[in-house]
Amino acid sequence: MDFSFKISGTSLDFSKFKLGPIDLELEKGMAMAYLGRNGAGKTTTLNILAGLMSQDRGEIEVLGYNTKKDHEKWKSQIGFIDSNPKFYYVKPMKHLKFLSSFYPTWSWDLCHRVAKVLRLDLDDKIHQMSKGQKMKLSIAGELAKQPKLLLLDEPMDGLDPIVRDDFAELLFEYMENEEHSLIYSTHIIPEIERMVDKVTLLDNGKIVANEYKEDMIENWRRIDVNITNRMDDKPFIQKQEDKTDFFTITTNNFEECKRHLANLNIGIRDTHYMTIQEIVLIRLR
Amino acid sequence: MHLNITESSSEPLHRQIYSQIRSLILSGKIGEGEALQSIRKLAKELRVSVITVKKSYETLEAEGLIYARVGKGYFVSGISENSKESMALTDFKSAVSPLIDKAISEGINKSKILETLNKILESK
Repeated sequence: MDFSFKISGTSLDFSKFKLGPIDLELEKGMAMAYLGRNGAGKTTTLNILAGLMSQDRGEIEVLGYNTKKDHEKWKSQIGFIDSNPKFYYVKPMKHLKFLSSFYPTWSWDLCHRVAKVLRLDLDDKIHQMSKGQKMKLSIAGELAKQPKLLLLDEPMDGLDPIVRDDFAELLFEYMENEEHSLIYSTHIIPEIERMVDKVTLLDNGKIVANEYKEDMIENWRRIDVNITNRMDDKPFIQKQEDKTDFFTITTNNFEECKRHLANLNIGIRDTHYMTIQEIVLIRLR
Repeated sequence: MHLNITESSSEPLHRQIYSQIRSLILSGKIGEGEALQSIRKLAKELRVSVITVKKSYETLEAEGLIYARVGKGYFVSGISENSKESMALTDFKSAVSPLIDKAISEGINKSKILETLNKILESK
């Protein structure tokens, strides 16, 4: 199995917060949602993967390179879009030219196409640009690198609905290449539900879930059952809601829950699939 | 291959893709030996993740409706008219069964259901 990145036993201590130790890997060609509450450690993880911060303990491999031994080699194959992009010049073209000199896989065709799709005017001065315009410039630069791994940290911040949709389209295009992978951190879960292959939840510096999306969707279910009193708690029962003449049970293991209900002779009225958003909310509460 | 998937369905996207391709195969709209779009291409076209299309293809493969050729992609299997019919019948039963349950629970008796089904059939 080829990995895009592999984080092993990695931790980073701040005075008020500790990330990890975490173990996390992403296969090449896959897109991962990296979700969690404010302060869970998402941005720290992405900063470590981008080489902007260094872990205290543990090993990290990015695109086959050990980030501590193979200094800088992986960085030219990484793109990073966050909600607070930095620029080196006043003029967008100068900034992009400077950026392009560090990336052997840089594509000007792609850069101009992204600018056109997002309706970004490359003649404006950067300090006069709105937040949304700056985000677009950052997106154009990061995608033009044609990175093998794309790190995204609230990349849609400040973008209007049309630009969000155009940007999503560009990301689907990016993922058409099986050499490409992305990790996407956001609080707006519906924005990434369709796009990602894997869902990873981070809570208080620790990974609490890391699953393929379709397994998650198949395993979690809301079941309306014919009971009028609460059932005994089980590890696969996440939530019980009293609906007066029946109960709605939320399970993270549909098959086991069905067996359990059959053993207890409890009738099922109806079953409902859940969205990733609904699952994540229950998981993080 | 025209698929139409939506988030406002109660079925997850991989199930929608699966059942629409299954239906295209059973109705003969895509025939034996025909190549399915590559997983990545279809994912991009439908704006879903790779794993979603992969899951749909794997379910179709497990049912023998399509087969994989290493490095070449997925192709429609040769399926006899008999097994096509029995698969379509299975789909029909599982689609109709909950509707009948619902009708019964709402107080419609079986002979009324049968009568209604006959009327619908006559109009076809």
